[in-house]
Amino acid sequence: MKKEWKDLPYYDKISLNYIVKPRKWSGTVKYDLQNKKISEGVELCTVSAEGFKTACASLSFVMPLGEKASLYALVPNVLTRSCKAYPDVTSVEKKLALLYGAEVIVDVGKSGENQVLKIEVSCIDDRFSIDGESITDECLKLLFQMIFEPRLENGTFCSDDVESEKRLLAERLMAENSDKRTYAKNRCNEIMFENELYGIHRYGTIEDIEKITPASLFEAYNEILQNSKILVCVSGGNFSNVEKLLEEYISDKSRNIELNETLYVEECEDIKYVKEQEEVKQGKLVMGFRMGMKSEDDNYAARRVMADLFGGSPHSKLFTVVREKMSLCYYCSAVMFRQKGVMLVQSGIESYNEEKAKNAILEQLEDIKNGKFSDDDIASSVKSLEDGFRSVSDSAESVANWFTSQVCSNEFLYPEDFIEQFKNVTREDIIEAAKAVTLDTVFMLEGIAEGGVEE
Amino acid sequence: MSENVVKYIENEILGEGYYSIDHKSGLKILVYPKPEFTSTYAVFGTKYGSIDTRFKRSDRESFTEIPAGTAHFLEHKLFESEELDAFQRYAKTGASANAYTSFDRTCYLFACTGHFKENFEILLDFVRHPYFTEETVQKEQGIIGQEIDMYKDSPEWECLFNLLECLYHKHPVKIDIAGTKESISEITAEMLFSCYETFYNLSNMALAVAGKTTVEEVLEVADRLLESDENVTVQRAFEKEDESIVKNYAEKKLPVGTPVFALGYKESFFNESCTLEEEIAMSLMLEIIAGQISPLYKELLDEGLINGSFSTEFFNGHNYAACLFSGESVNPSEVARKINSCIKALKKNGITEEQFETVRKKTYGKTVRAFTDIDTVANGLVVSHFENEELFSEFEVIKNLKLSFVNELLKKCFNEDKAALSVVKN
Repeated sequence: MKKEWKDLPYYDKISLNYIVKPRKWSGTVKYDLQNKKISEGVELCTVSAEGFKTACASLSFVMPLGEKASLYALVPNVLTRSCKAYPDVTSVEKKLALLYGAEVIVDVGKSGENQVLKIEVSCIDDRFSIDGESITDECLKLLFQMIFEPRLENGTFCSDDVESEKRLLAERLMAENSDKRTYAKNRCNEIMFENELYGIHRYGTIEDIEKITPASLFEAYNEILQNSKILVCVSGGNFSNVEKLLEEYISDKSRNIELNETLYVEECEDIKYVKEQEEVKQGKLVMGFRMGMKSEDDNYAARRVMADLFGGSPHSKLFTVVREKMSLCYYCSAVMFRQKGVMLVQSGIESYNEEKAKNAILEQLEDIKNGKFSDDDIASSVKSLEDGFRSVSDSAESVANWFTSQVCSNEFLYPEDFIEQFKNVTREDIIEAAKAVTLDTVFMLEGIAEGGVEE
Repeated sequence: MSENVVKYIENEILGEGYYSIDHKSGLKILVYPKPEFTSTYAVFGTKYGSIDTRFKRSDRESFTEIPAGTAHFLEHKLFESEELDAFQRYAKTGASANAYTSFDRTCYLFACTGHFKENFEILLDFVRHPYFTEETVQKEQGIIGQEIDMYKDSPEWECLFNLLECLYHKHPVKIDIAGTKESISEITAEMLFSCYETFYNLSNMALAVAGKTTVEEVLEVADRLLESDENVTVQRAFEKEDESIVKNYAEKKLPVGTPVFALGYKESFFNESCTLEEEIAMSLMLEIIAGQISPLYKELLDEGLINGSFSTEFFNGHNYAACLFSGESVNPSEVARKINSCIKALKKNGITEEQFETVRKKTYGKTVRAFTDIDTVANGLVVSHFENEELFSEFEVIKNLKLSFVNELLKKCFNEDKAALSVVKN
């Protein structure tokens, strides 16, 4: 099927946030999860299922988030650019093309105050192979070759690979600054978490990226191999060699894992307010809230339902009142970050409407605190969460993502575990959850182009 | 028609198939059951997009012209009704609903893991029952005005439309899908009703359902809710577009880190629109020229001229086609120069058997992969119906494609005189 510009159309009525939100998961579990400890800090998670058209294998390294964020973020990018067996971009890409268009995906993210570096290879299932070769096992082999047999010169990474990937990572960071929506969100994070590790960007800073040398990067790579928590996940397909390969590559390494314990700030005392001006047509208002959580499991279900009712879906207060009824903005939505106990409200507005929009958003929260919402609203939020969680089981990749995103948690939970909890949330639970929310930071990016002039 | 005509179309490679139904109401209904799925995805679309600004109904004498952005505006308004709007209704059943307008179609969709029938009834009901007043139309002008502004801040979006302005003299593809603040201010409730009557005739629409569903449950609801429309067809009319381009360079200032560029070659080898074979051949060609496996890609990367955002696209539709290269670069003109000289060399030497077979294998894999997502499948069913293609024909075309055909086509494309570069920078 064709993917063209015409398939990149105007999506409407729902904030863009909502559209990109993954929405695949499970009703009747049709997959089977097995997890196994391979050695200290190394875990293997095998999802077996029949019928998926694709399969994927990933390896995630978890390191404490800190001043080395840029170094760690660069490592998976350099590892996937080339390796001993495939010494440049062209030969890696050719290998992937011949594996029926297999894809390598690097994902650098945060889980609370830890940094997760994930490398994934995704491919079509062996049954579609035309020549009868095993696509999945070949992909797994490639994944391990890239991670554990890098291309080296004089005992360290090759400087051409490192320099090129440094530039690409720095430009990705710059692109986030060009995208005003992301820029405003990032600025709000920086201001809100100024004195917390969570304020560090997952890629670190452009300055830190520029300082990296092949030697410093190689040292970081070895640190990761020795000190990270490792999760390998295979999903769908037939990865018959995974345990054997893992034992070959990792099991004999002595490991010293020290991760950060994420700081949960329950309440905010002084509201921070920062305003910047730029030549943009549409102003961006971002508001950061503390949710009163002590840990990721602290009354999660009630808070999640509350956040959804507040600004998570098209029937939410932010959408129906602030956008639809008051016509104050094109998008206005709330996202909760469970692993830090915070919530962000993002909206795009005419700059002169800043006060109006801010007040309207806070009023919606007040309404929830005062119980001004119907039982239908609760039911809608629970249904929409349930719907999202259930469709996880529809592809090999989404099941794998579901489990790998729990890399920092103590046990693997299934989507169904959460659905049960959502269903038990009461009106009082939601009011309590809303009452625990305090505003921490307001960031406003004001447009000084014609859109910003009062009409 | 008084009876539904049901046909089953199967694909051996996937071991799957779908039902193609000529519904008695005159609507084409396509059902792709995937019993192993937990979700169901439905899309109800009309062949009416932003480029349809000039058309003639079969029962009228003359052509009608409408302001740019009308299709998108109508999409926004259809969600409304006298009582609960569509979103409020979907909220009760837990579906995730949306709509989009592109250059050549408007689609309403939902995905759910339960209550399929209720959701499906809502979809068929609100798309078939327009409701708006002058007052609600005026209010929408504010919301869409914001939306247009938001896209004006997007460097990629601005860059694309500036490029299309360079390439096209008259074709409406060059105008932003949402129109302009000026054009949408001309829209009235009456105009929307008239466009609705013309383009939302069931004979101009298609309905596709994929995932956990059965043909029986789809037809049960469709038989109950869908009534035939008046027999009206619509003829699209485009002013003749010259083969030449308007200008070869455009530049715009926006606050960006790395400059954003789009290089496009206007193509005119096709007749009204491209065949599937031509489309696939063009995509393979672009992959060979500048895909990640190409020597050019490595060269541009090594010299620091492109980054991860670089991509190629064969952009085509009714009466338009262009080969696009876009991304971010510190030196867009140098990128354009290198692409151009690489194409010249390739035209001279031709594509080799090895290059061709490697990208063919990749394309086959991508095609199989596309069938993993029920949203891609359902939207694909609607699009292929609008283009008079069969969903699975891509497999056959990829299998039977000849290198000689691709090399012949290559000679007709990428004319240097019909290329333009659009840049957005600080």
